[in-house]
Amino acid sequence: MKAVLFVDDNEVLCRLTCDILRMEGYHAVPALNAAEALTAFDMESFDIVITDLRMQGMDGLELARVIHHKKPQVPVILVTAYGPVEGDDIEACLPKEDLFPKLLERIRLCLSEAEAGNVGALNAR
Amino acid sequence: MRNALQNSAAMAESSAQKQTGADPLDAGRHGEATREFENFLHARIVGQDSAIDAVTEMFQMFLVGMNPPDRPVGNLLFLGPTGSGKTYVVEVAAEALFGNRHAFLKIDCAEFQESHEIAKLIGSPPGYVGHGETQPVLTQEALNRWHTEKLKLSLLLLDEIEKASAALWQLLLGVLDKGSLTLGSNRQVDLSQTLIFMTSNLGAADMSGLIEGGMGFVAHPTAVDASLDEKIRRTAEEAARRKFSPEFMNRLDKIVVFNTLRPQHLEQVLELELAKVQQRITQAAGPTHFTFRCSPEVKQWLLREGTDPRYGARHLRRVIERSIVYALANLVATSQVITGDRIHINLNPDGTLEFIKAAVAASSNAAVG
Repeated sequence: MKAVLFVDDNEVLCRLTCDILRMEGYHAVPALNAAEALTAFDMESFDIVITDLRMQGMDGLELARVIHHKKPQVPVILVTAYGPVEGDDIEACLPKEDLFPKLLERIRLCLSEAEAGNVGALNAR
Repeated sequence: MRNALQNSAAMAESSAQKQTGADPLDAGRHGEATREFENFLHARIVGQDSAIDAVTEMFQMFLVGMNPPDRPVGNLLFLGPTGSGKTYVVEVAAEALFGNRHAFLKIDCAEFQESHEIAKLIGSPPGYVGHGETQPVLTQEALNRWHTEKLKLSLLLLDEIEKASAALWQLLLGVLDKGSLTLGSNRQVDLSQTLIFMTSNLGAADMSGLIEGGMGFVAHPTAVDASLDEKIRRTAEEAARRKFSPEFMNRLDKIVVFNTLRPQHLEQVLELELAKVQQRITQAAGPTHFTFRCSPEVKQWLLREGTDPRYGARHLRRVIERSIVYALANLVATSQVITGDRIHINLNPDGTLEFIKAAVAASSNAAVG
């Protein structure tokens, strides 16, 4: 079972998304901020991380950078309501306007790319 | 909950009372904890009373210390069509006992189809590749992880048991019989405080045939009735007896064949699932959560879209997830819905769902991330 870490300071969104991910067969762990996410990341092995961009404290891009530094093979997807963001540490950026079901498609794509050893190949998308 | 043994015990007591004038004892009566447990299961599991009875009986035996020593608390085999709730029963039992529906150790037997893969489960012996490198899955710590001061009971789920390798079968026979297991490191694992659930889709193809109406020029789903359940029960049990050895079957305390869910069951499942979605929102957002309500037309639509006898309640849950939860998550993500809102979900003439904010929250300055 693939493990997904979902980070967002909106607790309702966190809970609903993790339930959807579980329904899709993932082991989903919620985190309400970057610090919580990094604690979880150090305790468990995750196949992919999805993070909100704007959060109190460390933002999503900075979190992606730390995660990429710790485990470069783990893809990070950024979700935001503020237009597309690019960065070397993220695999994809999704708009919040249309999160579901697009997020699920993107997770599947990122995981299959990661399995093929192609993390980083999706940066341009 | 009264079986033949209990009935005969009650009859014997009644006759004894006639002779002695003493009050009759009710051997089928449950203690307070067992009743609470049973009620919890009944409130959440629809259409599977025999499974509830089996689990409750095992729990009662455990509580009063009547389960046989040096054996697991119970060995239950759950058979039945997909989506009938075999794994769900274990999840609800875990939630009832430990307040967490993931509070059990699950072993997916499909991951141990090759004999060499058994090392993942119990660890490699000294001198073999992988010894000391990977943590075995089935350890005492993993089993006891959810124990509390008051309840030292473990739940172990062996999913899709028919896919187990020959090596896993050998191992299981010992576990089911003696309630113990020797790891690769020679450490012993004690399963005498463990309730073991095994699930299987054996006979699934035959069961699908029964549900879909069998062969013919016009295939149409068969009406779900008692005779269909009886046919499914026989099909599942025969498939189990063909596949599993007598040694294995003899070690089972109970075989439960899950019923196909009827329309009235699915209506109850729908209400339960919608309530669960609301509960998730309430738990996350606290007392100022937003609420949602589906119109009767939406509920009928969900039932129509979500009813497929081949996939049972799982299909209905998926339809709820995709048509209600996806949309709610998107509305929350874009701050179109905030705490205090009341959302009405209606059905449009074109068959799409419409989400209407019935009351606007006083505060609408939620930050968008």
